[in-house]
Amino acid sequence: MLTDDRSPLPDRRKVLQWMAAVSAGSLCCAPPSLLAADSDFVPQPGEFPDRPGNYLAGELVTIDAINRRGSLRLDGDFNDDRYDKAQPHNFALLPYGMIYYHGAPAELRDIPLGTHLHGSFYLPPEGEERTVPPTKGPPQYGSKYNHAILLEDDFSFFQRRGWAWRVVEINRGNSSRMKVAATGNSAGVDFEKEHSFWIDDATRAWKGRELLDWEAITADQVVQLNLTWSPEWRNRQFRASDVWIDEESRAVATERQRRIHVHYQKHHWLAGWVDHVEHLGGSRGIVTITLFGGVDSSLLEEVKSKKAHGNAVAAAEVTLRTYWQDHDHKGGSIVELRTLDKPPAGSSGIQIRWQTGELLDGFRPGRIVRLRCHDWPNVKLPPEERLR
Amino acid sequence: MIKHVLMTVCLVTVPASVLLAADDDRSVQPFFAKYCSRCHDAKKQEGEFRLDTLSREFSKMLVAQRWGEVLFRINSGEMPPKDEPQPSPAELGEVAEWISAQIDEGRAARMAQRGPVTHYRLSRDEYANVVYDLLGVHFDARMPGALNEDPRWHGFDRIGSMLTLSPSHVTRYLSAAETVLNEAFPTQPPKSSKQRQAAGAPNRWLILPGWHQGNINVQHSGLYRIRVQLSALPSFKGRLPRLSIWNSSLKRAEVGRDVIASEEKPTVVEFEAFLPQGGFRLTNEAPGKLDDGHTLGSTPKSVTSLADIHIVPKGYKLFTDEEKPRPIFPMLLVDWLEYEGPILTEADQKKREGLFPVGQVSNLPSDSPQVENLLHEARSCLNRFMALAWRRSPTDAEVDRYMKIIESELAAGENSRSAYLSAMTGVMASKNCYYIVEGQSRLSLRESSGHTTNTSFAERKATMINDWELASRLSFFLWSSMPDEELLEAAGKGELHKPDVLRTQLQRMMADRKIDRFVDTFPGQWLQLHRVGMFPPDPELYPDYDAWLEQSMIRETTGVFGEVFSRNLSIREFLSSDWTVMNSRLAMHYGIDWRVVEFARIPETGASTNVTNKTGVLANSTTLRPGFHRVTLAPDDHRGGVLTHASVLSLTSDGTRHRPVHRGVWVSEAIFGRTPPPPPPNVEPLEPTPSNKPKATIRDQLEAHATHATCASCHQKIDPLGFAFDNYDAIGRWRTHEKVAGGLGDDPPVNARGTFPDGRSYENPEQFKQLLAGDLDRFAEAFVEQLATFALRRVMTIDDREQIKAIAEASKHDRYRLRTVIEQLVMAELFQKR
Repeated sequence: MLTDDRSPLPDRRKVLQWMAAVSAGSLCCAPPSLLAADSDFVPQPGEFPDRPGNYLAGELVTIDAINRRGSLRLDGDFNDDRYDKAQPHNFALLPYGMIYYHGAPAELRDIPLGTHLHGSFYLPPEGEERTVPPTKGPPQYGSKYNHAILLEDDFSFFQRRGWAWRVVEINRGNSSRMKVAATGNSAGVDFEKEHSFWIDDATRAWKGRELLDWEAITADQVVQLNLTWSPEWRNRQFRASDVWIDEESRAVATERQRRIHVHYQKHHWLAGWVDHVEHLGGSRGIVTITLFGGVDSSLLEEVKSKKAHGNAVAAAEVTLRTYWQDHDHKGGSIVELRTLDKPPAGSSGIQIRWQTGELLDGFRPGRIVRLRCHDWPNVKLPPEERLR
Repeated sequence: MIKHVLMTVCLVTVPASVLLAADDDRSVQPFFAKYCSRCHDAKKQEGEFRLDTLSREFSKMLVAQRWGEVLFRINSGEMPPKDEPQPSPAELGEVAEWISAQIDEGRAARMAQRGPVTHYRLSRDEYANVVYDLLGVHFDARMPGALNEDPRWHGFDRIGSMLTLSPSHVTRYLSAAETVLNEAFPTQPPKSSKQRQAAGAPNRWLILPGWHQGNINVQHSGLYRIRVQLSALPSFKGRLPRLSIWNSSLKRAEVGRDVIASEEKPTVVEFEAFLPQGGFRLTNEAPGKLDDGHTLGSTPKSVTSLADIHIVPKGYKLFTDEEKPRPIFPMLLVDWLEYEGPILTEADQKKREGLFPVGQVSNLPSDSPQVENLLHEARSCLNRFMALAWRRSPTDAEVDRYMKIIESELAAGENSRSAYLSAMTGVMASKNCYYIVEGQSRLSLRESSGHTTNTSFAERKATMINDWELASRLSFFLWSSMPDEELLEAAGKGELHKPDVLRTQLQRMMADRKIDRFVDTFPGQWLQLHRVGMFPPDPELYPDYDAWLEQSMIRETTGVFGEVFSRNLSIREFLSSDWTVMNSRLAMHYGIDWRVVEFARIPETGASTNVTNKTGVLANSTTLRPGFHRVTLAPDDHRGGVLTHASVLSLTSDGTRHRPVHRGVWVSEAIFGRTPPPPPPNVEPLEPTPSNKPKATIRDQLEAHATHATCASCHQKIDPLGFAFDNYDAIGRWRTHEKVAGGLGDDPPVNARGTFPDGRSYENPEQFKQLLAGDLDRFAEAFVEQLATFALRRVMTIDDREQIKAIAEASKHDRYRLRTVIEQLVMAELFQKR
């Protein structure tokens, strides 16, 4: 779980601007600086960014889950021309890019299309300038920040900050709306206005372990919600796709996603990059690897507790794809494990020195590898996932 | 797990050793009287055994066996019984030592026994040399299915009493003869051809360690000339690539050499090697074999330029991460290869002249004049062939016997070639070929050489060998092969035994290239180098150990022997010296930044090799130069003398840990010429250090375990010979602390101090070597004994001791120079005794 201390997000001001825009609704007071560049920082291979990324938000409209790419329909800004002509914003996840869904680490494949996401983006890293094809359409409606370090659904985005919504009023008329007010850590901050989201019988209401109809949503409930498209998206209006109306329902959602994530990671192994290689002669060497963040802490604890049993490491690409990992990996053992006090965003804070008898060409500083604990599955991944 | 580390050995006092005569048991008689006689004499025969009347004739097998039983009971602590008075450790040690020494002497006497006629079978390497020198055919006697491996006695594989003959041997000799003769005299001589393969410019074959490229297809076995243009880059650690010709079916390199040449300036390497029929490939025999098939498949096999090699993440990493990447592995980049053969050299062609009749007939009646002419020519050829193959002139009766084979084969309808080959096969399959015979009837031999015709039984049992036998003894000693025609001629004239003739022949033989066989073979057998790698080092403990290092270790030792021989240095150099012969691999192993002072004379392999640099410029690196070189040593290199060669230090280890007791036994055998008896039964092995106890060296553990009286007595004598080398690990690397698995605390420091039983002490291996070198007379005697064992093909006995001592003393005036020692041996009476 990310904490605000190492959030790659832009400062609080940016987030509040977004909320202000949502709040403004049809007031047509779009914040003109939302898409403005805050930083032209270029990520470097082998280095985690030392400054916040640029905040972008929008609905997920396409994904290439295998290559960790996709596109967002950036939130409306009350601009008719943009509403008419803007093309989706293509993006790629940085190798250390993190995704949270329902409050737990996730993969792109876990997020349904149409889910509204908040993200933090940088310019393409060196050598990756052509990874993401340029967005077609009027250039003024695109963004050059197309490499994401973080994507979160609204559930994760707000819950991680300790914020929630208190239902003020439900209007189930022709234009069904749910009026909510921010609560939690936002109290006392400069944003306490009420917000209004579309709601209808397609909205899923979650209570405990149950899925209920939207009638279960009532005033005074403190909820988390996920947003999706509404016809008034030009004016930054959203429909609530899911509403978690009690604490248990939120815990269940988070745990369910956590399990999906752990299952996936154990089969695909933990990603990290090579900081350094000590060549010992012949094919022997010690590879220093920093594991990426955005993974469940239980997985990192397993790395620590099982280090005496040896590990496998496979070469991977920046997409985190491996070749034929159950064959290509090399065995070795962790000779040292360090935990960083304040790891930068993107890093798990776990750095290992891993000794192997057979160094692969992919074991080079800045390059991506994936690490398996001895008792995690060693399976052949489906052909479409493997690099050839 | 270390087994039987704690040996109870009974070594003769170091350095002096005076064996008692078998019938002189005065020194031990009081022991028998005090501790044994009460139950085992005329009055009482406990267990129906009397010791007082037990014969002291140890040369008799049954007597020796009974004494062996006595030794066993004493060593195992069974005797004297616990309820009887117990001898002191010193008393036990003395009596065990006496019995062991007598048993050894008795065994030596039995092994050295010679009947009226003595047969010494050739070792398989000698047989192969004979075949080559006789017919110019390279016969690989070690090839699977060729000839049986020969048993060894203390490293020597040519001891007559060990080399017995079984039906299997006879079958294989027959098969070998057919193979060799068919190659020497084929129906259709194979045409020599030249083939070329190229990677196809600008491509170059990339050959990493263990990889193979190119194909050499040998249709007819024989001598082949192979040329390869290549670049050869050392690894960033300084390991040189090694270009070798790989036998695909036997999975072994036939010939190879270290090469270094930059990518921009390729070199042409040329080999001349005898290749058997089959397929061969180029390989890089450097260490670091990459044998994971899947990863291999992801690594490029062909490149145009190393700078253009793209990263293949799942393939092996080939270059370091530095700004100017360096190869991780020694690598070869081959442009092309050429091979030509089979080549029949003039010298080899000449060997076959006059051995095979020129005329050819087939399907002719036996009374045909052509057949008559053929038989006449065949007899002449056969006579010459038999004289060479048997190393003496055959008698007419012997030639007649083989002529009858030809006649009967012709009568049966065989063509003349086949018939004659049958006779030749018979000659080669005869015991006269693969046995060195000594003591043959003087009558027949002298008749054949035109000398005296009188003989008697006493003469047949003469104690001296005749000139034919002397020629063989000399040539098998120095050339490990048959005498050449000049030597046989001298023998035929009955002049070889004359000192001036013998000395002249000796000098000529030592100047011949065939002396390389002695330079390779004798040190290998004397120092028991066949044991190097017998217990392969644990790859977990010694990941740097590899096959080429193992070969380099052996070549250091044979290379040093070669240098001492070619420069005629003193045998003192074997004990202590400030130089050695090594290659870059061994220098890396020793951690020596070597200073090359000159090129060694030692070729890298048995085959001749030439290196031609395309640009005419040799690699200018002083630290990375292919091949073996004479290298000066500094004191802090901790080397010099065979005792600190990695070969010796490895062969006395068990692949996991060094074995101080084994090292002591080895020093005793190789340097003092005395073999301690084996350990007693049921010796408890050393256990690994418990995890809750402080780490302890093997020496600490040995000293803690040597509690048995007999053990302590003997270990006191042998252990100082082994502890001196505790600064060297199981693969011969220098260390100051002994790495101990398990246990508490840091690895303990090495204690390489020791004290001989005579009170002399040393602080480190260098001082130990100086002590040995200071007692050179004693080493010289032991060395002469080893040399004589090798030359005379028998175990030396107490009867030979005076003559051995005399040979050593005669060499002393010339400071025991190696060639002088050899000459003194050859010129001594011992060398010409049966």
